[in-house]
Amino acid sequence: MRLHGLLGIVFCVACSSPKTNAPYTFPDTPAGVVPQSESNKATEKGVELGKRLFFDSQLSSNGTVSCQTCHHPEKAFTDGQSLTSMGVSHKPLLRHAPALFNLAWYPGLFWDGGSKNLESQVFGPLTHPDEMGMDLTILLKKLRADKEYPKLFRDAFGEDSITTQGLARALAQYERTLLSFDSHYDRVKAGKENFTRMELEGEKLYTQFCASCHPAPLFTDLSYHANGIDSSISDKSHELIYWGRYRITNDSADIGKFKTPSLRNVGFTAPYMHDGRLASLDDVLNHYARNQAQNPLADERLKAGDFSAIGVEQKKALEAFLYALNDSTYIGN
Amino acid sequence: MKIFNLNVITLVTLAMWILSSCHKNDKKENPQPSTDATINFEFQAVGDLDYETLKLGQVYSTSKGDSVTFDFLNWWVSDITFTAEDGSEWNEAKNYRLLRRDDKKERETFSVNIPAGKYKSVRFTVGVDSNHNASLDSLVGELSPTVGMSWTWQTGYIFLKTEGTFYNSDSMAYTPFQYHIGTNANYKIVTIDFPVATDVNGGSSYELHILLHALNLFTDPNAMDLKTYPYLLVGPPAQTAKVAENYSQAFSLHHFEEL
Ligand code: HEC
Ligand code: HEC
Repeated sequence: MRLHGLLGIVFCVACSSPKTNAPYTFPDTPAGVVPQSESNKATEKGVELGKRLFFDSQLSSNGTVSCQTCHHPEKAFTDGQSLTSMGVSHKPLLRHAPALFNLAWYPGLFWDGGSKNLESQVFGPLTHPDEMGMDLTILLKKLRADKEYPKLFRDAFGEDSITTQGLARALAQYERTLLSFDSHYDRVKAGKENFTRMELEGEKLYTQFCASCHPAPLFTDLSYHANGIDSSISDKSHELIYWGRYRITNDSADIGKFKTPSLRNVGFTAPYMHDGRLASLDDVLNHYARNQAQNPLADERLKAGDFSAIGVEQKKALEAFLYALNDSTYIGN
Repeated sequence: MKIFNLNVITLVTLAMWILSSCHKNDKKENPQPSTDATINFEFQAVGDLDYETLKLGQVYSTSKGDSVTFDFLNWWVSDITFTAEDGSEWNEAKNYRLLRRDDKKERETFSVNIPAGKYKSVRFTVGVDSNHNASLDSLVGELSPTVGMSWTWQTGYIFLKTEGTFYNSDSMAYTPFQYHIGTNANYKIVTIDFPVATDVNGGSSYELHILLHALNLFTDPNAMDLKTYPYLLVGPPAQTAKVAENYSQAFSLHHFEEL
């Protein structure tokens, strides 16, 4: 017995040499198991490498812009601006930088869902002339010549050469670990804390008016809707960027539809909507209170008009509930 | 970890060797001298003359009366399959080749090794199959986001990409066109029949020269309206489907001969 035990230890030591790259352990979440890519399961080393890449401004053409530039951890990984001009060209982008968390569940990324997975999405900001403006071939050369990256990539993926594949996979692995499920709301649901009367009242209103598109536990249905912020769209420039989901599906029923954002952390992620046009939660609630009956682009659910009848106190209650979705552990407080 | 993997590989190899050695006798009864033949592919984009590579910047007239010039013409070829006279097929293992006619490349050549046999046709696809078109992180063959043949705002590969100018009767000047055609609906299989079934002998080399008739992209079978749709970038789908049908019929055999 003893000898066997000893041999076992020797064997384990041999195989858990520093090169060992264990699978990354995801926590259980209220939304179930964290979905992963079949061909890119997260590992400890992969996630660590992805995190480093995410915060490294060497990934941009002039060495000043990293993913973090537009996705700050303290703002739940958005940037507080409507249309940022913090990219390498300092030209304003055409869309608002969304918050990043619970990304693993989305079947489509970007406001119109055109990007099919995180591994493919990363090449967007890396190469966009107004974001990081990087030539991928130059980026690979840069990373290969770096003192530390070659070893980090080897440890994470066992490859001798740094490829776009490893780069995309590491960033995607890290992004899937960005989980936010520790709000006051979650603690109430776990029986650890209690809602105030206001929050309770707000939850009822939320269930009635908002939950059909923004359902718990992710607070998004992961789908695309027209929430009435536009009643017509005519500008066809930039490959139909203003037309929302339509530019991906070419289905006229999808004109003006955008991806439903999660309302978790909504207190940290102003301004709001795909172009950041609404500055505050007040503005958002006022928007939803507008009668949409005559808006040809608005979702049917918004046309009943009942929400416009709610009073000031009820709005406050709804806002209190929305603030209960803030996860202060996620933004590092 | 590496050492451990090696051990597994060694074990599996050993097991396979032991297993296969049991069958050795059966195999010896069927001695098959199966040396492969080498097929040297040559893909050449041409304009109005079958023997001249498409000239960049030169004005060509299409059969529908448009005047066009090309800056470049790039396309993916994959899933090469040879069909023998008896209907059996040889498929190349998954591979994706980016073929270009640009200021650096006159024509594209590459070779594949196929088993000896009597073949009646060759088939290939223009584009990238839906599986590999769903993500930009699989690096099979030349697939890569570095080669300028993919979209990031709408994940997928550009199957065929060409840019140039056309004579615009409205502005009475040459104005740009850009065709960036992709999406799964436009993935096309091209079959090229040989005039006669051809014997391919083991150990020999053959030249298989295929033409891409660039002007047909605008004309056959669908006449493209360059003035209304000079930019086909992913969509509109009704227009890109027409170009895709055109490229699926724009290839022809120049010759297939033993070297
Ligand atoms: C210059 C600002 C900027 C930089 C730098 C930037 N992003 Fe973004 N990001 C945006 C904008 C704007 C969008 C929304 C674009 C759209 O929907 O069309 C976005 C969208 C995303 C999304 C989609 C989220 C969703 O919910 O659909 C992900 C994921 C993402 N970025 C990750 C990254 C990564 C990884 C990097 C670094 C490689 C990065 N971003 C760098 C501005 C930026
Ligand atoms: C018909 C579906 C639908 C309903 C119902 C709905 N929303 Fe939305 N919501 C959306 C969509 C889609 C967007 C994104 C629109 C855009 O960016 O153009 C959005 C955006 C938001 C945003 C901005 C989030 C961000 O990060 O930019 C907030 C806040 C919001 N909704 C709150 C609410 C509230 C509160 C209610 C209930 C009063 C509600 N929504 C009802 C679909 C809906």
